[in-house]
Order: sequence, then C-alpha cells, then structure tokens
Amino acid sequence: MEWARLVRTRRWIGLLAPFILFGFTGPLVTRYQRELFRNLGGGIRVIVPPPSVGQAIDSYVKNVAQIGLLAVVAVAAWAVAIDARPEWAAFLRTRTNSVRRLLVPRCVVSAAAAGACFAAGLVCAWYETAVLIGRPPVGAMLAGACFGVVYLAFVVGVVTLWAGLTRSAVGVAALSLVTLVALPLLAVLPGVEPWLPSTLVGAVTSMTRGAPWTDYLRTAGVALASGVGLAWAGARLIERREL
Amino acid sequence: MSERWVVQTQGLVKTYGGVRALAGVSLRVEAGSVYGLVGPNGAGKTTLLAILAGLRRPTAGSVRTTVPRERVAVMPDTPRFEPWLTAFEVVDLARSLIAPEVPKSEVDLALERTGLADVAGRRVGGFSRGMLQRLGLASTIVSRPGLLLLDEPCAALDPAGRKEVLDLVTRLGRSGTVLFSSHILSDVQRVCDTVGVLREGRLLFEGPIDALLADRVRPAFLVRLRRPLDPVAAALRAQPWVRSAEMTGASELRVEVRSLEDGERELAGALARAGARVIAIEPEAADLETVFLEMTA
Repeated sequence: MEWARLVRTRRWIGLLAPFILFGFTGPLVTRYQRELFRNLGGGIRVIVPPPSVGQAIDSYVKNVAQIGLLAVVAVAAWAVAIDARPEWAAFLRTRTNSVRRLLVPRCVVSAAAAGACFAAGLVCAWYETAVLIGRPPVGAMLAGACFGVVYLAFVVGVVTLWAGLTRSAVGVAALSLVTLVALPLLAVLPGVEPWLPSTLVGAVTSMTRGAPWTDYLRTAGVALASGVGLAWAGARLIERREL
Repeated sequence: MSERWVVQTQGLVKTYGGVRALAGVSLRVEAGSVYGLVGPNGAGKTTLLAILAGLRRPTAGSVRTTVPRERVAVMPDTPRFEPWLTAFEVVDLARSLIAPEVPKSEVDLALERTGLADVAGRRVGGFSRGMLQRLGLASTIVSRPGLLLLDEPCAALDPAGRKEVLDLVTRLGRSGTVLFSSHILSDVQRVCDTVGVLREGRLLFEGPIDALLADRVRPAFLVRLRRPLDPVAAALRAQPWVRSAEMTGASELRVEVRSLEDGERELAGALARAGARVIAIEPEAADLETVFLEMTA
C-alpha cells in the first residue's frame, strides 16, 4: 500500500526529480563554472580553481541537501501524519491495536524511497563527473551512498517524531524542516560535530577527497539509533493521542 | 440480571477543557440488539461512540465490553479514505488489518451487500458522500464484527439507499450487535429495538422503544369524517368523557378522551348519534419524534 501511495499519487516523481536533476547539473556546472564566470563580463575577474571530482560531487550533495531534503520531508510527512485526517485515522486506528503496525511500513518505504532516490542521483553525478571531469572512486561513492541513506532514515525518524507531536501534515513537514535545518548549527559546540547525523550529508564528498569511511561509522551509528528511537517515540505519542 | 450485555458504561464523563460533553452516562447494550442513540446536535453521541470505539478516553467512569477490541468495528459519520485506493482495496485493507483469516471473497460480498459491486475497481477519490458512506459500511461489515458502532450511517443517503442500509443494519443485528446514532428518528423507530435518548451529555431514557412510546401515549383518537365537522365536534365536546375535540385538518378531528377505554367504548356511538359520516377512526399513535421533542425540549 505504501508503494501504491508513492506511485499513484505521483509523489515518486517529486521525490526523484531533484536528485536526478542535481545529479546531472551539479557536475555540469562544476565543469563549466570557469567559462560561466568568464562570460559574466563587467571587468570583474573571478579566480576559480580547476574543476575536481570532489567539487563535482560536493555540488550535487549541497543541492540535494536543500531541495532533496525538502522533497523527502514532504513525502514522509504526508505518509506518517496518520492523524491528519480524523476520519481516515479512525478507520485505521480502530482496525489495529498497534499504531506501530501502521507506521513501520510508512517509515520503511519513505526511507527506502528517499535512499533510492539519493543513490540514483549519486549514480547520475558519478556518471556525469566521470564523463566531464574524471572518474570518482567507486568505493567512496558506495560508502557515501550508504551514509546518505542512513541520514535520510534519520530524517524520516525526525518527521515521525513530529507526527506524534502535531497532527497536520503541513505542520509536521514545517517543524521537521526547521529541526533539520537547525541541527547542523549545533556543530559550533566543541566536540559535537562527529555525533551529529547531519555530518553524514558531506560524507560522500569527503570520501571522494580521500577521507576514510571509518570516520563516519560513529555518526552513522548515532543517526541510525536516534532515527529509530525518534520514530518509536513518535509512534508512542500517536498511540497515546486521542482522535 | 441477565449477563447478555455487550457494552456497559458506568458514570461516563468526558470534558473538553471546561466543556462537559458527557455527564455521567450509564448505558447497557444487550447482545444481538440494535441500539439507537438519539439526541440533538451536541448531545454527546459522537463522543460516546468514540469512547466506546477506544478512540478517546473518558475523563471519569468506566466502559466494559464483552467483545474483543478487534471485533469492534466503527464507522464515522463522514467516512474518508485515501482517494487513490479503489473501493475493493479499501475493504480489503480493512479485512487484512482486522481479520486476515477472513477470505478475500468476503470483500466482494461486502461490496455487493452495500451496492458497490459495480464500482469495486474505481478509485474512491471520485465517490459521492453517499457512496463513501456505503463504502464505510462495507469496510466495517467485512470483518464480521461482534459489535458495530455506526455514527449517522444514513446521513448522506437517498431514500432508496437509506432503506438498503437500514435493512442491512437489521440483518446485522441478528448476527451481532449494532449501536448506531442517528437524528433521523423514523430510521431509529424502524430498526432499533432499544433506544437511548441523550441530551447535553446525559442519558434521559434507555429501554425498548415500545416502552418509551407507551409511557407517553395520550388517550386520543383521530377521526376522519365527511364535512361538516363543526356540529360533530360540538356534540363530542358535550360528552363527559371527552376532554377536547379539535379539527386538525379539513376532514379530521382529534378527540382527546379521559381514557382509552372510554374512547373505545363510547366514541363510535357518540359519532353515530351526532350523525357523523365516519371514514376512519384510529387511536393516535405516539411517534418517536414527538416523544423525542418533548424529552429534549
């Protein structure tokens, strides 16, 4: 049913489109940014370093960390906000003793779809970069994709927690976005950054530049555990909420 | 006292902020009965059904039921479904969630019984309110519930649809127990054997409809006769056992008598002596609507 929700509502298009778009345009813009700046005119001289594999992948990641995240949050919010429409919520909640039974497939499918879209975009970015600039290391890309998927699972956990705290899907999406945008700000606190799930967003870029994948294992563990914990807490809150 | 009850509440109270929606409701629904919950808007019917369904918690009081929770089916007054699901998928989802052991063929049967067999493959996004109400009913009956809670099940249906649904409710009452709220009193009178009258969160009456009506029946007769009516009315008013004789229509008199027995014994003779050309005489029946209006006024 959750796959049907994605397919029949065409939400999969909205989810996939930004990842594919930035997968192609990120490396393309990186490759030709010197020419773009040269043609700006106006007597301004812009010094741009030669395009690199790391830059191209970073361009993809930075773009999807905004628009892609928005799409993931929206899709997940509309799936997990099961109390958004009381009549449908009454239908579902009087037919099962456990809200978790309703939420688990929604969370899993949302996270899986988001992860698949991120990976698909990364494949596009890899191909475009390989054609235009140079071949990114496959191992780093694979490991980076895995860390990205873990981060997106954490995102779905955040969305589910908000679904337990508020009913409307719009409210769930907005509050989740605020949380996810604010989360990286905690990195200014000394020693906090390696624990922040948002650090995983840049993992693929760092690894294409040579950082070892083991640097992100701890963060991935935290993201996975907190994502599951947040989703569980969200389910508990929904269960306890009256319709 | 018999233990054939399915639901029993004791002093049920529900408050929202400072507003008291239920103020100590104690009701008892017998197994195999069709229980009609009537009351004006804001009486607390929906809140009571939501508590019985487990969707809301009472502020005070208790609810006891002999039916396991998974065998309690609920239909809200305005059912809404995911618009991208087909009617078959909605009913099948209900079946798979609550009673996966029930064969899929029951889904077709439920759709057929609610008159939706022809649109089983259509997405519900384009359904009318009446069709959604039928679909809600189909998705509640597919799991063969032991207790069916229906909130205004006929509210959006045309007369033909209402008749079908009421017939279905009557049939369901034979195999399980049905509790339904309605403001269409004729529907309640038609299918319910027990009625609960709710006003401002209080249960004013609970019991068989016949008992409710019998308690409030007035000793009066409706007499249809040919004109002129005035001399007949005057002759009747002169009788010591007649309390009043009023024209209620162009050819109808309402004769209120001291007792039904007096009327049964004396009325026909008095009419004959007055030279009345009588078409019909019948005792005035108390209807639920009149009683309801009296009770909730």
